[in-house]
Amino acid sequence: MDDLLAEFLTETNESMDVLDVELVKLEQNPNDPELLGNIFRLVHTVKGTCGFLGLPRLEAVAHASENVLGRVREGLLEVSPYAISLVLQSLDQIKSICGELEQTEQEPAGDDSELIAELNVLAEGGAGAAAAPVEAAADPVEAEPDAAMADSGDDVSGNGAIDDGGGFPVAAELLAEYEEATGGQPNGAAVPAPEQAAPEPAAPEPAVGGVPGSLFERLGGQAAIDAVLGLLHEKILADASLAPLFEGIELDQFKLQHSIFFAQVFGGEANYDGPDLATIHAGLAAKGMTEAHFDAVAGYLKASLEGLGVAEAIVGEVLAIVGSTRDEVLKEVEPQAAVAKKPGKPKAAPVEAGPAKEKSVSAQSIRVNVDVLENLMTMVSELVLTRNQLMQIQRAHENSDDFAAPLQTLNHIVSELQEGVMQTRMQPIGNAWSKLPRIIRDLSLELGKKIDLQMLGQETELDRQVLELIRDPLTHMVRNSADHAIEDPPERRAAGKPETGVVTLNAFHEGGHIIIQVKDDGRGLAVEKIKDKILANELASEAELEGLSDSQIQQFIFKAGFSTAAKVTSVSGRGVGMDVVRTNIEKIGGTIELKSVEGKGTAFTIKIPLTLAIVSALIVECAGDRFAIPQISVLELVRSSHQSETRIEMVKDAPVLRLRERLLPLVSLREMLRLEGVSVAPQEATDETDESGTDESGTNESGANEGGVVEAVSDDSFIVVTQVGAHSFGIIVDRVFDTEEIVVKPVAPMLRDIQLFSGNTILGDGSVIMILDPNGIAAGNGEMSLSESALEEQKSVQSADAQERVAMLIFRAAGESPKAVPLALIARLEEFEIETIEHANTRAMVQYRGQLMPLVFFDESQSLRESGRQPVLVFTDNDRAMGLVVDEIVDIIEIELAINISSERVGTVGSAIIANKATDVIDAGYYLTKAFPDWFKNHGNEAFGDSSDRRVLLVDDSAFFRNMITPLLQVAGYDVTTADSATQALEMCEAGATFDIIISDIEMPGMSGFEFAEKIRSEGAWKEVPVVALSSHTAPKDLDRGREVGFTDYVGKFDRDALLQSISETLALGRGAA
Amino acid sequence: MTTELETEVEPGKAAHANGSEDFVTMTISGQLFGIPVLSVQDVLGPQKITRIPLAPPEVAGALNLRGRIVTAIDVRSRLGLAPGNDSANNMSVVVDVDGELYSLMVDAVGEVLSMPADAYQPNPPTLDTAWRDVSAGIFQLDGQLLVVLDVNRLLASTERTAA
Repeated sequence: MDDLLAEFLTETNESMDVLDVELVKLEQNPNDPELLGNIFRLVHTVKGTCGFLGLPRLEAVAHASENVLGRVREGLLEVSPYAISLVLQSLDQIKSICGELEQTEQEPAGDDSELIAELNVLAEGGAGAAAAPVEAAADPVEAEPDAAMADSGDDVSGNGAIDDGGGFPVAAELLAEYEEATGGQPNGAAVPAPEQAAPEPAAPEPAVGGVPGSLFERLGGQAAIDAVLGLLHEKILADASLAPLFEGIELDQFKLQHSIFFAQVFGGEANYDGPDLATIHAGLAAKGMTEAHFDAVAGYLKASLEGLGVAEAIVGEVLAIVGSTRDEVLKEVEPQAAVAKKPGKPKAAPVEAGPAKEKSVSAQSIRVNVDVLENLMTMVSELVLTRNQLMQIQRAHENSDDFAAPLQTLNHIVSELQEGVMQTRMQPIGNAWSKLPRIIRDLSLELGKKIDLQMLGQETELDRQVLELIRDPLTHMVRNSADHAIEDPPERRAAGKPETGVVTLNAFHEGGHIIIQVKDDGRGLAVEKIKDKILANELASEAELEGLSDSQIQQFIFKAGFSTAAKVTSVSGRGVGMDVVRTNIEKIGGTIELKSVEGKGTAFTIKIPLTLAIVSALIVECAGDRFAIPQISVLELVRSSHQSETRIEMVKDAPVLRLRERLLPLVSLREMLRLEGVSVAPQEATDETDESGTDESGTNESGANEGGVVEAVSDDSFIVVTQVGAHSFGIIVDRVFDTEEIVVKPVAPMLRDIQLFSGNTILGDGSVIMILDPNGIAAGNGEMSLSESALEEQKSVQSADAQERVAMLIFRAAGESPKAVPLALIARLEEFEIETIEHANTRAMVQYRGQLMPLVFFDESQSLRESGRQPVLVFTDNDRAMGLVVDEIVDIIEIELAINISSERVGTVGSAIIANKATDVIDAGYYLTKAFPDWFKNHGNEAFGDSSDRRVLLVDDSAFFRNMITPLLQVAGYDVTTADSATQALEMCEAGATFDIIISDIEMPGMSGFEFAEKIRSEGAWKEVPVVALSSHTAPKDLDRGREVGFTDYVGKFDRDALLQSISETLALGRGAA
Repeated sequence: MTTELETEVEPGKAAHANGSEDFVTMTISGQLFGIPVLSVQDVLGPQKITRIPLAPPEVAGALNLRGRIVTAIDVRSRLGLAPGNDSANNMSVVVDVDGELYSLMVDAVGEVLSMPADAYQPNPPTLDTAWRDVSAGIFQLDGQLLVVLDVNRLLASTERTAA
């Protein structure tokens, strides 16, 4: 394609996108001149460029809409939805023409006259309504009527220009004709205003009775005028002093304008609506036309007329008319700046100077072909991989110190380079949203709704590629929200909501991901309707639905086959189901969540990776081949063997695993990939299990026995627990290696049909590896039935609702009875070789991470093992760590809390029934002070600054939690007061106690946390005290409710880091504000 | 994706002014084959190849060529020949098709021959269909015949098989 054309198309498409947004904005703020100016400029540029490239159809459309905008800019036309719609419609037309232009490189044939006519009517109608005299004469097709011109009529009379022409024998009727034509008013003349004159042009001629034909006829008609102008132009061009003025002016058009002007004015055309002379000559004046020039031209005109044998009287008439324009033509010289900005002719000033600010920005950015960036990215990725290889080699040859320093430098440079190149691919997410305001606007007009689209975090950046892929799903969702979710104004009023519905888009970064929320305050998902549809489409039976919660039923909208539309591959418009949205989001490794409250609204939360280019992947081995599994879909790793409790069981031919009381369906990678060959027995221990297992989800025995030597049993296998959408399954592999950052590359075209692979990559050691696609695996195994896993999910959800669940670590120490401690309190589970345990000053110590860590025993009866490895629970707090010696780590169990408090024994919080056994729940705080008597004192100051003088009120009905959280907070150096109910806390308030922050449980008997927060927010001394909610389930629903009632923040009960962070942030905020 | 090796010239269009064309020759099971020299990017010795499960049988796997992933095609299998007995010493010819690199695994790679256009013969009608698909024609050399492989068809039909 022609470079120029390609550039034009790119630019025009960009302009169109901007225009869509700006026009909708304009509709909301009709009086923003800057906005209008920008819109006008963009349309004008498009028009100008079209003209330049010879695209008449585009130019005509652009021109017509520019006219309308021009009117608006002059204040002659109100910004109305109709006007905006019409202009938007013309933009659509331009887009569609551009679309074809891109395909064919030819401007397609077609007729836009209807649209243009409508636009023109609008422009003219606006002029009529404004009732300014000169506007009637303004040209809807050609000129940019500007302020200077609007004044022209008055100038003529004011300056007495007509009288100046009095040197010539001026015929009264000629003057009258001219006045009518230009709409000017001579001083005190009885000539009616043009709008009155228009219908009856010849009526009020005062002086002369029989008009001997108009001047036009007397001159000799059109042919004579053309001849005169031809002569005149020749003469003008021959004059060296005049020639520069005409540089860059298209003479033919110029001549034509003159010709029309003369013909019509002389011909007595009363409502002449072409540009007047001042406008035609505006460009000349801008170029520095002086009186001398004008006179010279007038002289040439006279000569031309005479040369053609025109009677002297007539010559005089003509010159009088021309002379009358002299002042206004020359007057243009002064407001030159203004004139230069207004494009009198498309050619004269096709591109307007934008605001200076914009210019400087554009000077700092350049357009780069995406391919160039992609290539650069590939190269950098290779460089990273090569660097990794080098580093590996260097590690293998430790004595080669010579290389260490340069390698280190290389390492840094490459990292920065990588970051820099990644940056070039980043684009603000607002780019993907640019079409949305327009869509919402059109929809709201079409549907008669009032919708406000709020877009937050538009500047959030993400990878270009991701952006492209997210664009359509987002558009679809927003459209859905506006179309289906937001109610009509009457319906909203009836529901007690404001008439205007709000659709909110919010984007922000969170932990290497982008979170995008699409939220509306519409009617929410109607569970009953969804149920009907589920049944109608036979997605589930009535009995199955019975057992599902509302939110689970709502999840069905993501299910393929829910939408009535047939499966469509690309999200193109309405009728495409949410399943496609979900599929598209999952394709880029994202997730989508839904929550909806009937009558209140719906919120979707999309989580997508920042970039697709580099992902973290788990490397596994199966039948001697290695494969990568994207880490984002890996939940945990489980090692299974015949000996251990976690072993693969078969139901008929389907392998399953019992995982925390649930049956996890398994797929064998070997079978899926039809890999033959003998299983390679694991040669060495891998402790990867710990990394993604225990730390995150607190899992299985093999994880807890971290560091234990894995026996080389051939039937040992690893299960990668993977989550796809709402359901999880396990992938059986032979071995698990490291996780590695990989650069995803698409597979060769001939391999794209293999669903199981999402790409391939080159590992640090240079070998090629295939990347498994968990979605493909799930799909390849038929439907990993949603209802099945949904039921499981539901069970856990229900029980969580009924009772708070806590992950407890069960262990044995000092006696046979099992003991338990909340897993959240433990930093790590370690095993130390007995030999490494040292004794100093009668206390057992061990070197741990460069420090001496004291080991604490439960009581005197307990002792270290004779040999082998000693399991230890490690508690850490910033720079110090304490190890609690245990005999055996038994299990990690999620239990419902049913603790019978007993404070008889020191070091225990109480006892609970866990796994049908009475279990002591230990008081971690007690043992912490045993290791460091000052654990809860002083040092907090160092770590958390002046937090020690911060008073915290902890409100929780459960003594267990009060006991668990209090030491946590004390460790952090806060002064903690507890209350066992909201009522007690309120009593404290009345008693005049003051706190810096209140932490409150949500689920409490009597007054709930929500009510409590509402209460203290509404009145009393604690009105300003920040309140952090504490709950065992941080469902987004609760989160919102919490914010509504006035909680400052909302944290999970077992997330101690989040709690501490939230407290310190909240306090810091308060301090900052105070 | 481009590399400095990519050329603007279409494969097979490297005709010299004197009407001759250059081919890289290679042998599979004793049969001589040729590929237009301009479509060849690299000639490789034995490589470490990663198997690709579920791939069409003629896809031998993938290999890393200076940071690019190259799909290895077992031309033997593509041509319906029995597996060779000395696959460890296989050589490969890397070709670029529509920006994707493919490594054609053959028994041995020979020299570059300049062939006059008039020595070119169409496929004999009796030729095996699998071969006829991928053979662009045959050159008569002294003592043996050179089958010109049409790389696009060689790979395209692989795709069809895969689909």
